[in-house]
Amino acid sequence: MAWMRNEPDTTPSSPATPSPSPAASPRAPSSGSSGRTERAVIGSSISVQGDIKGEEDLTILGQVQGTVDVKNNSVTVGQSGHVKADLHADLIVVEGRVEGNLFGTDQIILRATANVQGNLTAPRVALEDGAQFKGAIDMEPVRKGQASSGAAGGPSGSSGSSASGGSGVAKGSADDKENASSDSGGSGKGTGPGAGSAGSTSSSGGGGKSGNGR
Amino acid sequence: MSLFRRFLGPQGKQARQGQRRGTEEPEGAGGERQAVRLRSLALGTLFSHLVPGGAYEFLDLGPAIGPNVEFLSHYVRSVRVGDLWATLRATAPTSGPERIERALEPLIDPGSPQRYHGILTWDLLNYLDREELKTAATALSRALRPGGYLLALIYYSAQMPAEPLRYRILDTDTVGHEAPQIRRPAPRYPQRTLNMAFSELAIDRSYLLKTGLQEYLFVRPEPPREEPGTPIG
Repeated sequence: MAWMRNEPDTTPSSPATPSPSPAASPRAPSSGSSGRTERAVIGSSISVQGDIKGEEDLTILGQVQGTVDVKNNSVTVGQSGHVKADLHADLIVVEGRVEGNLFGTDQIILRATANVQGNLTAPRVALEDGAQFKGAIDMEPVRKGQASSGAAGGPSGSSGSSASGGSGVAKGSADDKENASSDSGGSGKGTGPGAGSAGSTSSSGGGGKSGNGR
Repeated sequence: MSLFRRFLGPQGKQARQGQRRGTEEPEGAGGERQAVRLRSLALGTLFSHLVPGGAYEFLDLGPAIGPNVEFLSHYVRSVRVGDLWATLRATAPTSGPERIERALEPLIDPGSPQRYHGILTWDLLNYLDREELKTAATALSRALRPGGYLLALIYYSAQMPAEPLRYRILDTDTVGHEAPQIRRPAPRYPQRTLNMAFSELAIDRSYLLKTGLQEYLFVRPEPPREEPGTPIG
């Protein structure tokens, strides 16, 4: 699973954290250590309506309405940023407010100050303590093509991808119900025999977990 | 990497050992944070039914909690975070089934019923009145797939925390939450009431904990198998 990948730590400590840059500076040079040479900044007094496309890192400190698509780069919504848009990027870091769907080909990070309403789609998603979020988190990897193909998940609401959830689902064999639910009266009451099975998350029981015969 | 690890702390593993079944143990000996660790047998049972890396869809009616998302990500492909209490609080003056319907509508997506393999309600149902409970139970039941599970924690103690707790999944059968400071009377919904409310579901497991909580793991029964030769719709 992508969450478990032990890749070199790509946590965007430096590129993701927007330095308190000058409010309206259109472009701020970045360290370039990651090979990314420039970082565009939408300052806190700037308001943009429309689609933003580009191939460099972007920091949003102002207001944006529309769509943001920076393909293989990162987008950071700073604390003062307010975005009503779908965001498509390699890495998305939110410290401010976003109403829209986020598509990250690598990772999405919601910092403690983030307030996000929308769906997140990325192989890795991190929510810091305090982050406010409402929506669906889809941990399926976003393919590069999908990331920039516009409203892949459609408007907010149920992300289209989740509809495909029907397939390939293994489900626990509910056959092992010693405390079968049928005896609704006191089914399994008390700290009962289930204790043994509790916690055994290993796939040992996998035998019974057939691939969704439904 | 891990918020989860950070929360557990270096002693996390040792602390997990020696837990007694269904007991609450104060955490953080330094007193820096009053936290409680709770062995959740129902959660353990739920996870025992899941295959890691599965393509499950879950609905978590609790607030967005990083460690939960991270933990669930090992098992589920998609988790919808509902934060239902926040929604209800925002509509505070009103109450009744209508507000539940409104609050749940975007979460259960009537357009695609029976989508979730698992629903975590935590202790939220205690904060609904009977009518609201019935409405929520009906809506949530319909959002559950056949064979899917719904977890609910119901207080049987006279008092309960003033607000739903923020449960953090620490392990497959262990959750943590902060110690509640203020309490209020609990509705103490009996099993009969729950059975009636969740009439489309059956109780798969139920565990009475020493902490004043009863854990319920509901399951949506699978439809009867088709007779051989019956065309598949």
